[in-house]
Amino acid sequence: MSISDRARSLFLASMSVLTLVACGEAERPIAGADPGEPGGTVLIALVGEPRTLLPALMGHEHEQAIVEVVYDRLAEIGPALDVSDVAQFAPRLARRWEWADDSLSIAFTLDTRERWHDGAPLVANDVVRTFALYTHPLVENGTASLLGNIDSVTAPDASTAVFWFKQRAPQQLYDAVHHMFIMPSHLLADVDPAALAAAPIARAPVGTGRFRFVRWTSDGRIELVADTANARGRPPLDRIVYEPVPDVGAAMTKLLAGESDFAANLLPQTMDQVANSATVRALAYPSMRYQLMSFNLRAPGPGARPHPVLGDRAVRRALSMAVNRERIVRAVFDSLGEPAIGPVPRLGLSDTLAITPLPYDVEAARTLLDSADWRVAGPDGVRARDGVRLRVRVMVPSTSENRSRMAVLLQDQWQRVGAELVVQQLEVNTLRERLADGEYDAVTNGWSLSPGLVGLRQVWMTSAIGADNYARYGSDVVDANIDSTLLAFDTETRTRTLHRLVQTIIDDAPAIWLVEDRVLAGMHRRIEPGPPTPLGWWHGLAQWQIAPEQRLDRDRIGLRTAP
Amino acid sequence: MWAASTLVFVLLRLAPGDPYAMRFEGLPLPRATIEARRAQRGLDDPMPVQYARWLGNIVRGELGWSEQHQRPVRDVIADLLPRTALLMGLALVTSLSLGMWLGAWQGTRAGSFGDQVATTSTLVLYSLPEFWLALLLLQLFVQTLGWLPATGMVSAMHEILPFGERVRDRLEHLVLPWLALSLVGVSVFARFQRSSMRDAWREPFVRTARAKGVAERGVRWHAWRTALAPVIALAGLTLPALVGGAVFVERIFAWPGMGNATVSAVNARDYDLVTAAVLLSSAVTVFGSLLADLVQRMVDPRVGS
Repeated sequence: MSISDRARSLFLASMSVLTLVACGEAERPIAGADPGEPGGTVLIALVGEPRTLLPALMGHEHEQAIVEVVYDRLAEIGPALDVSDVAQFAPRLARRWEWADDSLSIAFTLDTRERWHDGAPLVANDVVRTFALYTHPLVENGTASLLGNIDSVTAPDASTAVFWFKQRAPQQLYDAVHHMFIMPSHLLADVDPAALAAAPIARAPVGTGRFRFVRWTSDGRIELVADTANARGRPPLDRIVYEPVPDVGAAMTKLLAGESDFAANLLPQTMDQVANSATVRALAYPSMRYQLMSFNLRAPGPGARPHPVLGDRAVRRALSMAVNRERIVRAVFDSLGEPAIGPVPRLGLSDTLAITPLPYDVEAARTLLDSADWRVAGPDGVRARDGVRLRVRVMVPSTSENRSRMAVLLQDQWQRVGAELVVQQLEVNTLRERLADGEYDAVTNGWSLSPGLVGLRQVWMTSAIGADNYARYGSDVVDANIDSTLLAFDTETRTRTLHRLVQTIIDDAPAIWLVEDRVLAGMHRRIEPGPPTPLGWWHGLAQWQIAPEQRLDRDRIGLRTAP
Repeated sequence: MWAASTLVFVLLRLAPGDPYAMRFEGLPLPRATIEARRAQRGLDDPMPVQYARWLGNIVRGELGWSEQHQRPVRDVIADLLPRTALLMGLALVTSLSLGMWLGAWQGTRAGSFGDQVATTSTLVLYSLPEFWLALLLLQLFVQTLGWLPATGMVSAMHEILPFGERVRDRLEHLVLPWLALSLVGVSVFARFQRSSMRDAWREPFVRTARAKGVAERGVRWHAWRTALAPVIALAGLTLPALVGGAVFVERIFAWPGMGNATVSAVNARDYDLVTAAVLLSSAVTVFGSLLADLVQRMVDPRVGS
C-alpha cells in the first residue's frame, strides 16, 4: 500500500459514521461487468435540470441536448447550413419528399422501417399530430412562430405527410423539417394540449432516435441507452447519462474530477484549467450568437418620443466609434471570441468584406459629439447639452460575469470621449420587467440566430418594438430588406439585400455589437466527437465514439440497465 | 407559519417577474400564449383572490404545482426533503454531539493549554464561511488527493453497482458536504457549551458536590445538565435547517436538496414551491422551539417552575 493509500485509509477511517468508506484505490466492480457491445458511456453535466423531455415543450439547451438524440426530424439540414439549398438536406424519418407543381406543398414519404421505441410503427398521423401540438395556442412552444408559413399538415395515407404552405419561400423545406421533432401520436392522441406538461411522455419520452430513454432519477439524472433496433443502425456509444448541476462552476468541478465527460458553456477564464488537465481537452464550438449593447432609441417609458441622448444618430455613432471592441474581446474572451461586426454573425454572411463596421476612432467620436453640440460641462469631463448630461445607464444581468466585465471596460472607454456609462447590475426578473416597460437607456444582451436568419424579424423589425426589439429601432428600409432577404429565391438577390440591411443597421448604430463568442466546452480526451457545428454541441451527439483501447471501466458496462 | 407564508406569498407577487418570465426567457412565444397560461393558473386574478385560493388549497393539503419542475409541489418536496434531512440531520447530530462534548470538556478546563488550543481552533472554524470551507475541502480531497467524489448524491452509474458498492458510493458522496457543515457546526455548539459549562463549573453547587464526596464524573454530569440550556435553545433554532438545507454547501457540492432548490425556485418565481418551502420551514421552526422548551424542562426542572 502506498503512502497515499495509507493516508487515504487513515482519513476515511477517522470518519466515524462513515467507516465503510475506507477502502483501497482499486476500480469498482460493476455488477456482472462484461466487455459488452462496442461503445462506451458518456457522462454529460448539464447546468439546470430539464423541465420536460417533450419536444413541443422544450425551450432550453439542456432539454434540446436530450431530445436531439431521442427524437428525430423528418430531414436534417446539410453542413453548409444553407436553408434554401434543398439538395443539401439529408433524409431522416422521411425517406424522400416531392414538391407540388405550384411549390405550395411538399409531400414527405416516411421511412416505413422506422419504429417508435415502444415498437409502434411511424405513421403520417404522427407528423400531423406533431404539427398540431407545436402550433397549438396553449402549448408553450418557442418555435411556433417559425412555423407561421405552414398552413396545415395532412396525411393522405399512413406513410405520406403533406405540408401545405401559405406562400412560396426559399426556406419552405427548412421550415417543415428543422423546427419540429416528430412525436408519437398514439401516445399523445388523448392528451389535452393545455396539460401536455403533465403527460407521462413528457418525463418518459418515446422517440425514434438512436438512443432510447431508460430513466429519470429523482436526483435529476437522465439515462439513455443505444437503440439497437434503430432503422439507421445502433449508435457508436452504448449509453449517455446527463447529470444536472446547479451552475457552471459545479460542472467544471465534475469535469476536472473525472465525474463527467463533457460540460458546455464554460467560462473563458476557466479554459486554462481545462487545457492544463491531463484528461480533459478544451473545445470551442462555432456559434451563430453574438453579444451586444442595445441602445434604447426611445425615451424610457411606453411612449414613442426619442431618447434625450440616444435618440440622436450622431451620438450613437460617436459612442460606437469610441469603443475598442478588439481590446474588450481580448480582455474578456482572449482568443475565444471575435469582435462582432453587426446584427448578423460572420457565419450568416457569405462575404464579410462587403460589410463596413463603424471604425474605432476616438478623435472622430469626439468630433462627432462636438458637432452635435455635446460639450464638456464640468470638472468630471462629462459632456452635456442643454442641461442634459451625456449619461447612459446600461442594464447588465447580475448572473453574467462576462457582460459585467465588458460593461466596465466600456465605461472606461467612453470616459475618454466625455460620456458617462452607469452600470446597473440587475436580477434577471427585474431586468426583464424593465425591458418590457421600456424603462432603460441601454442593455447588454445576446442573440443566437438560426441558419434561416428569421430571427432578424424578431429583433430588428419595427413590428418587434415592444417585444424583442430592445433598441426600439424602426426603419422602413430595414423592414423591407429583411422581407426581401427572407423571401428571395436567388442567392445574388438574397446576398445583396442582406448586406444592405446589415449595413443600414450598422450605420444607424442602434447597438454596439461587441463579440461573437464561441461555445466553450470541456471533453474527456478519450471521446471522439463529430465535426463541430453552429447548430449546437449536441448536434451529432449520436455519432460520438470512444476507441476500444481508450475505454474506461464504465465504458464496458454494455447495454445493461438496472431494473 | 401563517404570517411567514403569507408574507412570502405577498412579497413574491410584488417582486418583478412571475413563473413564466423566467421559464419562457428568450423564447419567441406569442404574448397570447403566455397570457393564456397566466390566466389558466389564475395569475391574472387580483392578489386577494389568488391568496384566498392559495389558502383554501393549503387547508386542503394541496401545495400546488411547480412551474419550474412541471410537477406537483408535493412530489418535488417528497424528493428533495429526504436528501436534505439526511445531510443536515447527520451534520446536526455530529455538530451537537461533538460540539457539546468538546465544549463541556473545555468548560471544565477553562484557561488550560488544551482549552486554549481548542478555543483557537473553534474560533477559526467559527469564522470561516461554510462555502469557503467547502471549497477548501473540495480542493484538498478531490482535486489534490483525488480521494472523494466532488459533487452529487451518488455517481452517475449508481443504479448499476452491486448493493455494497451502492452503499459505499452514497457514503462517499456524503463525506465532503457533511464535513463542511459539521466542522462549522461543531465550533458553534462547542463555543456555546464551553461558555455555559465554564459558568456552571464555578457555581457553588459544584464545590458542595465535591465536598460531599461526589465522584468527579458525577460532578461533571450535574454541571453539564445545568449548562445545557443555551445549547438546547440553539439546537432548537438550528432544527429548521433540517428542511431548509444549506444553500452554499448544497450548491458547491451539487447536492440536490431543499436549499439549492428553494433558491432556484425564488429566482424562477416558482410561487407554489417557494411558499411551500417557507411553510414547511416555519412549521419546523415552531416545532423546534416547542421541542427545545420541552427538553429544557426535562433537563432543568427549574425552567418549569
